[in-house]
Amino acid sequence: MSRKLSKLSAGVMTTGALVGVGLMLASGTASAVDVPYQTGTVSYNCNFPAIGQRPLAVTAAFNAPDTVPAGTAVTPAGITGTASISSAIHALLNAANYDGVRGKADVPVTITNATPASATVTAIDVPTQIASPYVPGPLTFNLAQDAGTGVPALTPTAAGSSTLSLGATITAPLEFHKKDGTWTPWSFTCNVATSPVQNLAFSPSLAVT
Amino acid sequence: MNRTRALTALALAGLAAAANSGLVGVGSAAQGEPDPAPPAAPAGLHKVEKDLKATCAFDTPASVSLHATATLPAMVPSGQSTAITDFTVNLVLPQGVLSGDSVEGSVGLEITAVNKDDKKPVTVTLKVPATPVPAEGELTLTASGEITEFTKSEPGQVQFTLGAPTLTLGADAVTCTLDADQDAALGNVVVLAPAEKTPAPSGESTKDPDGEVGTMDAPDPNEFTLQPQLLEGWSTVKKLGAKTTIGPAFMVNATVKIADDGTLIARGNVFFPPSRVTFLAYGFMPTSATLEMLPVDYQDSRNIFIEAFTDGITGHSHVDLMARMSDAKVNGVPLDVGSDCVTATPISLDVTGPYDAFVGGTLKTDLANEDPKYRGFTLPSFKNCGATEELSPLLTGLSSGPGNQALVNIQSFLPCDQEPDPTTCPAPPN
Repeated sequence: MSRKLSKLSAGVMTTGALVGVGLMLASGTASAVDVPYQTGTVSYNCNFPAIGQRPLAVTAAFNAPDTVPAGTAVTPAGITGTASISSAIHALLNAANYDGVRGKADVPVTITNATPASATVTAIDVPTQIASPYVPGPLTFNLAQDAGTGVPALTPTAAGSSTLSLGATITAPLEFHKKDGTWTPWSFTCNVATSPVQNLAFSPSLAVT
Repeated sequence: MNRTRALTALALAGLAAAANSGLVGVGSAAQGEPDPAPPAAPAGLHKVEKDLKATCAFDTPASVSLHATATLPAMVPSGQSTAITDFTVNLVLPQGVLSGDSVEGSVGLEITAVNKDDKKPVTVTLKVPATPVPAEGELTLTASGEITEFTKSEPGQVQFTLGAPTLTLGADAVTCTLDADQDAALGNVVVLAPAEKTPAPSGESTKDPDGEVGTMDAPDPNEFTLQPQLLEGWSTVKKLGAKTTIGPAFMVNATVKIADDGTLIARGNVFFPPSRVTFLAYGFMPTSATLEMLPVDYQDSRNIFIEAFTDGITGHSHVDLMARMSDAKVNGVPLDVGSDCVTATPISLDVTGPYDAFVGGTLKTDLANEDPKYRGFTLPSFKNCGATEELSPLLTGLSSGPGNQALVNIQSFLPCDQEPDPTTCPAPPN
């Protein structure tokens, strides 16, 4: 079987990556300072191995200038994220002898009042994370931008504000770690939960001067 | 019993034994045999076809050949329609049964969706366009249409079988009956269980400005619906030196649960469709039979309940099952073994091996295992064999005994509705 347990990890990574997409780079405005932009907890449903669609709670964040002049390209920086599985799924993975994850995540984002209107932050790192010994309860994995992460630049088009949001589908080629030291690959695909409607937006919106 | 009869019985015994082991868990197989070939090539929608013979009540009853082709989805969510698309039936009629320069009309065909013990027959009408009637030779008619009436099946494997056609090519309808001893199964579709509700991560309830996110009811937080598991493998029968490949088959309505000791239990029902087994008895006599792997209560059910226990690395399973043989032929000559030629007692099979409830594994008997119960299984004696002559003792003497081996590969079967590209889903076994 080619797809394996990396689903959980992937979901987590993806979320983190998206957050990072933000806009950090500010160029141009002498008075601008980098501030954090972040989402709330967003519920995605991910294709976990063998047990199918299961919820994954995702958060994302990035740093970018507090204001950006229209027409000035900015590139988000310091992208981070978290992905959390429930205590029940954590227990199931532990019983199945899985205790860790690693991989990458591709996280799409949408941007209002900017070009491009959508883009994908690629290869957000899901560093090796081994949750051992097992501690009952929900389990959170971290994602973070690294040197291999592709972060698109965005250019606000008019004065006002630009709002970045996570995309609907996060993908992540992950590997799940077994307690015997082996890794099992799994292509993780997470679709945002539709009921209730999720708030995908980063907050605050980027002020455009 | 003369020599021919004895050879026949021996051949049948081999078949029965092979079938038994295969049913158990997947096939028979001597230790060290290579793993079974992987499942059929991926395809979310898959083509199926079936050839049947029918006798139709023309003025002079005549034999008609049917060749049905259709496209079936690999899987559908529970409650959703199963669409049979590109459904075409070619009928070959002998010369002279229809008159005139051309014919057109329709073909009525009953298709039955069999889901566990539930049968839902639907009569479909396929259109036959104007077709010239040749002055000489056979007349081939092509009837086609789309079918979407099959809905609301319970989770599990649904098998579609074809019924006898009714030809309406003129004023009067001509009814047909399928010839006996034909397997009319067209193909299978897996009906998925409804999406399961599980607690949301972190706190078991997470909230955002719009309200609570992802928190849902979970009847048992330690038990999860398991996607369909594909089983295939083979078994051997030591006395006969026979080997047969069994399956593939699905384990459906499956769940995985955390046991009290912290390990996992994967459990579900497996329906092994009848399989045709052929081998050379004594190395020269072609012998074949239909074999069924059945539950101990086979007179009331067709599903075999299977449990597999695993710590995530090594798994083990025990299953009791019956093997039934029918439609036997020795050297092409039918031999009536009766309608209830089964093992007198259940086959008790214990298998073990690397098994991960998430990704699958291989469970098998193992001659080198320190626990004797995993070193092979015993094929019990047979009973009720022989419609006109008692064959049970001979079958038992020739094939029953210990030391038979079995191997089964198990792998998770990805549902198409949860894949970005449904064409990546594999077709279910037929």
